[in-house]
Amino acid sequence: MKKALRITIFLLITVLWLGKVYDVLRWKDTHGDYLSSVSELAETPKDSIDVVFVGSSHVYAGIYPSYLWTNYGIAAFDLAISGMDRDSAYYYLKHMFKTQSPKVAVVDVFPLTYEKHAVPGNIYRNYLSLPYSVDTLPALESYAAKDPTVSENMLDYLARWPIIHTRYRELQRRDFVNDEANLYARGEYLNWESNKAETIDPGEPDPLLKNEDQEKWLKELKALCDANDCRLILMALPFLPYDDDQRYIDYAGTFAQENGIDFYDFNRKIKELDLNYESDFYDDSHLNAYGAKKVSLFFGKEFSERFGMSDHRGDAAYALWEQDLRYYEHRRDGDSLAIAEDLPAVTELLSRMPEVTAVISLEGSYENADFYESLRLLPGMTEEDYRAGGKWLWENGSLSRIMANDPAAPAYVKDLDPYATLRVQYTADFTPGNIRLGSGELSNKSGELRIIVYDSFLHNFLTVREFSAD
Amino acid sequence: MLFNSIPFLIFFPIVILLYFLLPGRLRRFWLLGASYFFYMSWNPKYVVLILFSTVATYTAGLLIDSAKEKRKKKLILACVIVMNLGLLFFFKYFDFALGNVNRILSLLHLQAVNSPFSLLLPVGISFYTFQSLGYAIDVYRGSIQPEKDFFDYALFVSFFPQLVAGPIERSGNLLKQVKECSEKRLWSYEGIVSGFGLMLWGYFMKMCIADRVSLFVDSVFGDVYAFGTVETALAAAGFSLQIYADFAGYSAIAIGAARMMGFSLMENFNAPYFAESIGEFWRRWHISLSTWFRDYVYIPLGGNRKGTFRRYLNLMITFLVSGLWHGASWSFVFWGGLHGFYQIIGGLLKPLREKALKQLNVNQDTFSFHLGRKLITCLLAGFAWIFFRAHSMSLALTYIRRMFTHFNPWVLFDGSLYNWGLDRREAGILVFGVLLLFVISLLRERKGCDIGSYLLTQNLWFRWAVFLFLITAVLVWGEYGVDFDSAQFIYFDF
Repeated sequence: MKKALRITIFLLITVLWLGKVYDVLRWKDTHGDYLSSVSELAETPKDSIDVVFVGSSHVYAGIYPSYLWTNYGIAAFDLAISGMDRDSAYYYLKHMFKTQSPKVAVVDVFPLTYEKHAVPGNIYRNYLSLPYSVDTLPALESYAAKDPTVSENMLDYLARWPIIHTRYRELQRRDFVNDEANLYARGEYLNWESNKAETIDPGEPDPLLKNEDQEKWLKELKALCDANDCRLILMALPFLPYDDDQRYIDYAGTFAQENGIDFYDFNRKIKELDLNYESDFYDDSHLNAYGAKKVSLFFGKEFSERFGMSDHRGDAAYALWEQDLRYYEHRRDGDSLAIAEDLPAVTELLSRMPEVTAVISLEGSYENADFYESLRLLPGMTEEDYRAGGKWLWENGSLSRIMANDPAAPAYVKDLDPYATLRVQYTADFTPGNIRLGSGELSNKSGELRIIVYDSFLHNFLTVREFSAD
Repeated sequence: MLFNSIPFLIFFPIVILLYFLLPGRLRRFWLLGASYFFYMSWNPKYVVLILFSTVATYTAGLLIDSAKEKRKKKLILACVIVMNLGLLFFFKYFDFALGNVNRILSLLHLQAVNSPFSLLLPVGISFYTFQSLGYAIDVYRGSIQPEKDFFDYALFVSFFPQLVAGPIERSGNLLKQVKECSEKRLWSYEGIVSGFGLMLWGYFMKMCIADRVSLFVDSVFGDVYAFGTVETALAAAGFSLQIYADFAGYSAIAIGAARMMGFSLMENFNAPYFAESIGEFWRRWHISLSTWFRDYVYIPLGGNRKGTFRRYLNLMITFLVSGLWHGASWSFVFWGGLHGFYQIIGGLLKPLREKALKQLNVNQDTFSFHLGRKLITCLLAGFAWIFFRAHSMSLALTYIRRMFTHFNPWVLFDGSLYNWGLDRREAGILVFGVLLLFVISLLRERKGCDIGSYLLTQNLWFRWAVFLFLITAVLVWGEYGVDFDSAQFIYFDF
């Protein structure tokens, strides 16, 4: 009996231990940035989502729920995964309905243009992110029907471990400590980078003839939404079509018309929304934050005017959307800080960011520069202080000197959060080690004015800016 | 159903659990059914072959026993040997033989003969035919009584842990246990724990060491013209490691799985690279096969009883046959012959060597002397493995030529070695695995027991920590899954 108990305890410990190991190794992102819209969905209170957007990267790049929230108080969510195919869209929508009852589901019909995932990473993102349930096997079988790499390795896919175990080669902090954004972000992929996109010319509508597989998918989506008392809307976000791509989208339009479904083809709404190919696109087929704002606000207007969706702002039950908005603002400001043109722009931004920590290094000779005029925007530094130089810490909305330009002064060390320790010292000759953040060497190397910004809300080093005194 | 496959990880716990739960009289039927299911998972058609071999040797055992005259006994034995070896020849050596016939025909400017068959080597055929032949010879010699119960005998031939790649069991050992398993409970807590530990170690050897080093070895052997001295030498050493970790790993899993069910299989490896001569190497390497050849080939040929010349001739014949057993190719035959040659030369030069050592005043009782002997043995065995791995004489000779003519020591320093299948991280894991293998081998050498039995003598917390480490290492570092084109156990091909 004692021996049987020993074996049982060992098996129990093994299962618990392997559960922990699996948690470290498991696939964690749906966007390629360690954020998972599926994890975010799991954190969402039951029946709190008003509208869900389902689709591929087009969706997470092109619809920002934070814009819908801040302008209309609509609780939107992007259930979007890179390269989401038709089967995944169906099974994720089904998965979502287990905990949510959105009034509207907006599905991107872009998956009509391809049969299967373009790269293995997208199979992994879609399949491995789907929690185990009775739908796991049917979902897998549907992938296998289209992709021999899946059908030849069904057991490996089903067990998942044979796929994810090789992730030991790429483990990062976020594999051991969950990215907090996964607790509140709403599925969007925030990106302010602009690149000139090819002009989209969808031509005259020329729908492909009825296609059995594609029609079946659209019908299944409709049946699923009907069964869950949810209004289905079809859309195609702006993308550069090749070959027959646009004709597949036009086919969806025909289907929508025949079945009384709202349909928005944004390839044909570029002018209406004033989407700018120079500034509103990240690449030919993905919007950036500026483009996403235009599309998101278009939907916000539609939802509030046509469907009478109520404004939840101020309702404590929707705290996640407030938190998401805060996340959006931190990311936006961090991005702005990194590309701000000059010191006045940087200090002006910092003055509006009391939640970030910044080290300002004044160790050189600044007789030829008038930095004080900019730095005075940050409360806590007098002109006399400025002349004395040293290293300053911007924290909680005020500046304080943490290190004088004194070689005898001991090092200043502070844990900014559990993941980053700031260590500064005066080395007089700008040798390495005068500013370190975690394992990052960010020292002042030549007497410039140096600003290092860390965001403890995002747990991220944001940027380092240098301003020469010459 | 490879040992390192998901189906086996489902199959084995079900088999062992039901085996524990079933009443005695049903256990052997359960194991027999499981063994045939296991065998048929490769190719259901080939069940006919194992059944044929089983029925033939079972019947032969009974007939030999009932025959009164020695001549008749001999005739029956000859028939069953011809039948079994005929089967083996047909499936394993037919194409090889035909290839050689065609080569001779082409030399004579005659038309080549087309092969009428397209044969796949049935998995494990070399192993179970030898095991059942061993039984028939033992009955003929009178060293065992023939088995009367067909099901017990069938389970002896097909016992799934050792069915496809050994150890090649002797009836005196396994058959006795097969009979006992119906009568009493063979398993014990100690057997389960030590068998489990041994299985884990086997998986570690196979999946973390053998399959990892194979990535580099395959790169070099697959494109030999791209490499020079350093890579070819390292890949030769790598293959020595690979084949050991692969086959000893397989054997550990087989022995461990059987031990968990209360069966004690014969040991197959005993730290072979610690051997100080090629003769000793063969007493430590694939022991079940070496002893089979010793008992059923070398000794019947006369062994060392008929003078020096016959001894060396018998030795050479045995090793040539052993080479051929490993594969239907001249490179395998050459590999076997090379091992025979090493031993003959070693024997012939022994007086000279001893005289030289005495004159040079070499102290033979030192660590350095023994280390030197071990290293030389490793080098000789490693050199011979090139023929084994190359699969053809021309590739092996090209490989060796490049190893001695394209000296490129700079690759040790410019980082290019990491481009051939093992980057720095993977090489680091491999080095760690090899160090662990060295420690475990040393443990075996010193304590005389395998890691499963050794762990049984340790405190519970240490044992569990080792088990958890091995489970995690295999599951995380093991080479398997979608991105890995799994190397089958090397000896499955023989």
